[in-house]
Amino acid sequence: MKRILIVEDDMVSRKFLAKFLSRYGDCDMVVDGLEAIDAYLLASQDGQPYDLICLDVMMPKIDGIQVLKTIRDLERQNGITENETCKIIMTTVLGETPVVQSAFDYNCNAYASKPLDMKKLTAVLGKIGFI
Amino acid sequence: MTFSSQLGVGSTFSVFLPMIVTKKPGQSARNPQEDTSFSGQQILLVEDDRVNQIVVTKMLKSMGAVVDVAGNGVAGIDAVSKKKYDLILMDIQMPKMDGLEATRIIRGGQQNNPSDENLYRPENQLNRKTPIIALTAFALKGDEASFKASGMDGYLSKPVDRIQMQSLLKKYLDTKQQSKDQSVPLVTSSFDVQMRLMQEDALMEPPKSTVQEREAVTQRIDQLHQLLDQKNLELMEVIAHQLKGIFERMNADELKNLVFKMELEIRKSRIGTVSEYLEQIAAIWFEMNAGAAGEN
Repeated sequence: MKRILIVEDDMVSRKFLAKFLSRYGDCDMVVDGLEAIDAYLLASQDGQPYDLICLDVMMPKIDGIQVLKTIRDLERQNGITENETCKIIMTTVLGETPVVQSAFDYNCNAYASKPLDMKKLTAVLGKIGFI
Repeated sequence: MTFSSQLGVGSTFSVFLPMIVTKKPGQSARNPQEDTSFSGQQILLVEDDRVNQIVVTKMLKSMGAVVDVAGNGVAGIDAVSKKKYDLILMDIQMPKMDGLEATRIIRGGQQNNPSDENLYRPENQLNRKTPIIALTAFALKGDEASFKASGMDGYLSKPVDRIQMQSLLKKYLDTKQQSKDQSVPLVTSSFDVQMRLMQEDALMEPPKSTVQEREAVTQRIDQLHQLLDQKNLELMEVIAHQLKGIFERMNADELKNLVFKMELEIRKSRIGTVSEYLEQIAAIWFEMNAGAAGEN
């Protein structure tokens, strides 16, 4: 069973995404960036790291870009090889080009615009090698 | 055993006693106290997590053992060079020096990183044969082999269960010593039971909590039990989140993590795992507080 983490402050989007993705794995849901980092750390500690993280960009406390950067830094520190790194899809509303650019600078795997189109999302999951 | 009578929730203590009796009826029928008393046994606990330090120490103390605490591997080695122990409980993941490396050095091996201060000293021989038990949160396949390779005798998974701890002590502690102690009235064991501290940074303060905070925690644990019975997961999430915040302020990391994991399971509506986490949280919390009440 693959492990998926959904990081999304909006309850409706969170539940919707979890429902859709639950066919591909066990979905944990967190509501902000701090919780996301906590969940990432706990999962790694438990030896059950996440295979996929869907990360909302606009969030209170710590935004998605900072979470992305933190996770990639931790992976590097722990000597995790490129093949073993977690797949990260950034999700956000249209028209934030500088944000998209910085997300790719920090090595996210894909970018999905909200509102999410499930057909496109499925295609993206295939493209990044998750399914 | 006085702990239980001083605090209402201490009733957990008395629950464990009959379980031990049923487990080993032949032995305990002769002298039931023999099972729970390890009076005067010297145990070293090498552990960095404060909550675990407290929980394990209280547990061992309540069984009559004398417990020293070291906050990391280096402090642990320092401790074993000063005193002969009957048993060493060693956490694996620790800052400065992990449990495997510390065990290798206690067993007379070379240090991996010679640039550090040389810790191998002849007086370390004192505990070269002392049983060392790994304390670990997640024993994976192959981990046991690396524990053995470093010179450890066994392992115990965290959170530490009282019954497991008792059977472990029975297995590794010298039973002859115990029978000698039986001639001494049991009352003296309470005077023997005292904790000494090895290192400033391993001070055994309970998590910084006020009476109000402790009440708030106990109240929320009760509420969570009720809400779980009513299957009211929405409200459970709110209460669990508050509980997590309280543990965070108390620096009770292990409890905070458990509550967070429970929160994740609540969001997934998995009643079964939620209930397991809640039991675990309640057990650790009451174990901690039963000990704290005994000290006051």
